[in-house]
Amino acid sequence: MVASMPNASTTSQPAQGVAVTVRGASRVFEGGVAALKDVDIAIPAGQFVAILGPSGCGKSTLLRLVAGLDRPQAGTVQVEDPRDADNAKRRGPIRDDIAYVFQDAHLLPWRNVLRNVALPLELKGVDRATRLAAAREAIETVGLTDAATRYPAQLSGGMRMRVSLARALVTRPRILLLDEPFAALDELTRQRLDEQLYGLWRRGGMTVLFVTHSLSEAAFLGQRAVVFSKRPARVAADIMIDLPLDRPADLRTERHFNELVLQLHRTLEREGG
Amino acid sequence: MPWRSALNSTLKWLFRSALPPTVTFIVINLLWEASIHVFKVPRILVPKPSEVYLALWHEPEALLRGTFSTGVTALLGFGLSAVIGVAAGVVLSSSRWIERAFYPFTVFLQTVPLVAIAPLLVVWFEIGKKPVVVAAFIVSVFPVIVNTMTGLRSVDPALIDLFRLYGASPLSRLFKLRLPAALPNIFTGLRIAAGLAVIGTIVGELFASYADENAGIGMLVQSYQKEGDLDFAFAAVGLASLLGLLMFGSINLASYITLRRWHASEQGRAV
Repeated sequence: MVASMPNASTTSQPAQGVAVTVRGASRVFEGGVAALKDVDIAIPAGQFVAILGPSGCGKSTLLRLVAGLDRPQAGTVQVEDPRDADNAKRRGPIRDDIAYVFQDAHLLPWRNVLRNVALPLELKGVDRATRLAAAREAIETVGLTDAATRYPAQLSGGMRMRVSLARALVTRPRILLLDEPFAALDELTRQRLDEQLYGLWRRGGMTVLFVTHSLSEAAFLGQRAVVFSKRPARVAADIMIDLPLDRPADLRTERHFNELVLQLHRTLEREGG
Repeated sequence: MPWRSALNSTLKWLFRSALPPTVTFIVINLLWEASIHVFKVPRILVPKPSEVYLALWHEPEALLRGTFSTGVTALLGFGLSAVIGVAAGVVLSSSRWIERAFYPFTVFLQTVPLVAIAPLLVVWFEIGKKPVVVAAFIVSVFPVIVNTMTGLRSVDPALIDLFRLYGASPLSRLFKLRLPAALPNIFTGLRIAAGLAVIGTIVGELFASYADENAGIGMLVQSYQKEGDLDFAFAAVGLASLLGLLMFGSINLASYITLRRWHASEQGRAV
C-alpha cells in the first residue's frame, strides 16, 4: 500500500494532466429532479476549464460524476491518461489522481493545518514521514508555512481555503476539481488566490475543472469557458478564452479581457442565469 | 512564562465561574438557617444547615466511607455506560436496518422504571455491588447511545465525500472522521450520564446492597431516616449531590481539554 504512490510526494516533477470525456451523461435525482441531461464535453489533458451556469443548474453534479462520487444514469464519464490509454480502459476512472476542492474549506477542525493537509496521503496509506514532508511542501506552495501548527478555528476564511487547496495538491493530482472554491471570500482575497491557483496550474500541468459564478474569474483563469443552461443542464456554449498564457494581475483591466467577460455575460443571460 | 499565564487564567476562571455560585450557596444557607429560627420548624422535619455541617464535622467517617463507596460504584456504572453506550451508538448508526431493528429496544432502557427492576437485579446478580453497578449502568446508558448516534449521523457530507475520494476504509472513516466529529455530542451524553449514574447507584443501593461498613449513601440515608438522624441524612444527601457534581465537573474538564482547540462549545471558556 505504501509503495503504490510513486508520484504522490517524493518526486517534484510536474504531474501530467489527464483527459476527461463526458458523453451523453444524464443524472436524475430521486424525486425526478434532472440535474444533467445529455451532456457532452471533451477536455484534453492539462486544460484549465471554467464552468459557468445558473445557480443549481447541475455544475456540481458534473464534478461529482468526474470525481467518481456519483454515477450517471445514462452516458459515460471517462477520465483517461493520454499516455497510457490501454491501461486506463482497464482500470476505469483514475481515482488515485483526482482532487476535489469544495465551496467551503471543509477541514477537520480537530486537526492542525499540517495534519489536515497530510490527510489524503494518510488515507491512501503513505507512511508518516513521507506524508508530513509532502504536506509541508504543499503548505509552502500556498504560502502558509507559518500557520502549519494552527487549527482551522484560528484561521481566516482565506487561509482556510488555502489549506483546503494545499490538501488537494498534496497528492499531486492530475485533475483538480474545484466547486466555487473562493465564492465565500472577499474580492481581493479571491483575486490573490486565483493568481496563486493559476501559477500552480502553470507549474503543475494538471487538468482543472473550475466551477464559478464569477465571470471575470472564469475569464482570468480559464483557457476555455463552458456555459451550462438552466436545469437540467446542457452545454449551452463552449467559448475559448483567447488570452495569453501569462496572465498578470492587471490583465483584468485590459480591453480584450473585458470584452470576453461581456461575451460570457451575454451568453449566461441568454441561458437564464 | 506559559505556566504563569496558565495559573493566571485559572485564577481568573475561578473568580468568574466559581465565585457567583459560592455566593449564592452561602446566601441560601443563611436564609435556610434564619427561616428555621423564625418559623420554628421542628428539627425532625428539617435540620438547620449548621447542624448538618456539625454532623459532618463530628462524625464524618461513615459518611465519607459511604460517599467513597457510592462514588466507586457510580464510576463503574458510568464507565460501563460510556464504553457500551458509545459502542452501541456506533453499531446502531452503522446501518439503517440495524437501527430499525434494534433502536426501539434501546428506548426500553430509558423507559424501564429502575425501582421496578431493582428486585430482579438482586435475583440475577445477588445483593452486593454488582446489581448496583448494573442499575447505574441501566439508567445512564441511554443518553450516551442517543448522543453518540446523533453525532455520528451529523458528519459533514462533504468530508464523507473527501474520505471516499481518497479511498478511506470504513475503519479509518470511523476513527478519523465519524468518531472525532461525534465527540462534542458524545461528551453531552457523558455529562448527562454522569449525574444519572450517581442517581442509579443510590436507588440501586436502597434495594440491592447490605447495610455493612461499606454501605453507600443510599443505604446510609435510609438508616439515618429510620433513626431520626435527619442532620446526618441531609449531610449524606449533600455529599451525594457533591459526588454527582464532581463527576459532571470531571467530564466538563475532559471535554474542555479535548475540544478547546476546535469546537465552538469549548472556545473562549477559560480565557
